[in-house]
Amino acid sequence: MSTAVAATIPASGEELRVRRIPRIILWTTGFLFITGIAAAIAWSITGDNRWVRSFFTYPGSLYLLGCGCLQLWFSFRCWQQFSPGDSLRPAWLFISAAAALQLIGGFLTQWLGIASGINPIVLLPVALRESLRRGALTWGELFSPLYMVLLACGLFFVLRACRQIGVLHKLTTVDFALFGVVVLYTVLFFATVVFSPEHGGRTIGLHAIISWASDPLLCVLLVEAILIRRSAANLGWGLVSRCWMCFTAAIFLTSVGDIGLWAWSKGYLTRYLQVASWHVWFLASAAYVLGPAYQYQAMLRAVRGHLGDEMDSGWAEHGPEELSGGSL
Amino acid sequence: MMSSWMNWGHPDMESLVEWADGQASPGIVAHLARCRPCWEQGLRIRDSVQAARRGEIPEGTLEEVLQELQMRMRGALAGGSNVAAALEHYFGKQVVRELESSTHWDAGQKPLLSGARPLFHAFLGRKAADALTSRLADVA
Repeated sequence: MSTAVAATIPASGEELRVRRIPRIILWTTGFLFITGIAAAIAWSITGDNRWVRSFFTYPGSLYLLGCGCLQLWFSFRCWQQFSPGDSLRPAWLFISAAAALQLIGGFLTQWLGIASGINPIVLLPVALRESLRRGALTWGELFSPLYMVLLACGLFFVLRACRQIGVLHKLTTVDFALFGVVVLYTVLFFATVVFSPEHGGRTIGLHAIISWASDPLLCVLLVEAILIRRSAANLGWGLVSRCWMCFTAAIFLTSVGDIGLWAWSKGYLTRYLQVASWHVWFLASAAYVLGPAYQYQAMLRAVRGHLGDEMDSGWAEHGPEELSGGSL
Repeated sequence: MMSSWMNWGHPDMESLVEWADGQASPGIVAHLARCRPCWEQGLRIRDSVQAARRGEIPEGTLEEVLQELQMRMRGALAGGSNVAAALEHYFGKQVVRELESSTHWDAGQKPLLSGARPLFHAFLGRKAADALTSRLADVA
């Protein structure tokens, strides 16, 4: 037996930083939720909605933009780690492009489109400011279906890879139920908004058609995500599996967030439920970061030849002889 | 602690010799039905024991044969466990079970590493897969 690899492989600085990211994201999201709940309580006691508005305008927006930046960076780094010809390289290219569009849309709607002290547009004259703000919101909305198209393309390559290596599994009853909920919502959305005489208060044009495409696209994304989730769930709970479980969670939470917005616009939600439904977007953003973060962590560790946490610490602690079966 | 983790679920040499003698516990029999490396080691031990009884191997060399088998067993267990540990770290426990069950019995099937390589390659990329497989070869 070779004794060449008798010492542990030390983790690189980048590896250690990336390893901390999931925990940081979870703590930050938890802290944000506590702040959001505190703001909602203050609002319900005082009746002053500035509490809730300030929460979503400042920490909420900054959190979403921060998540968008991290998502893009991790996705891009994952793409870089794959070599030309690797089956998931195009997937990560599409996922990176989707993250870039999501971030641009976020900058337009969460930063330039809102009236806040951190928006540089507020320094401009009132007429110009309002026109630019409205433009940012209008254009920002279009990035949502565009990123979904790119993400769907990326996930298609993931599914293809799963099929090629034989880990693609069939859908179960629960999967069909999940999908059914989103399809039902899409049908309701089209019946009550797109095909209604008022068209949800919008004039039919290219802009409206593109923004309405979000819901059918979410159905496509959800089918892909459920198939990937089924395959990932059958692998276990390792770093790579966690990545794809996070993508599935992000897509499902996006669907829930969209359903919340639709229900709010139709007046089906009480004001407290309405505020609670907005928090779902934070969870979706967190899941969109965690997916690429786990993948990047896995790739960094694999490139350095890590065989697992216990294995690596074990080599340093006991040496190869004991690890290879000292009790025999 | 680490050592017991590495040998988790795999019978020791004494148990395999008992199995070769037809005196194994149902737990060992069930494990051998699932674990191809242990099954193959068990068969080798049984062949050696039977050959020794038939007088094909002088009794004095049986200990040497067993020692040789023990060395090979160590290598197989360490190699298989390393692959299983890596698979579990990157994908999860379930995939280890699935690969072990799909490689069991059928003599034409490739060992665990061959089953793991396409997974590493597809989900982690060629660079990472090569680094992992070469490390696995080093530690086996």
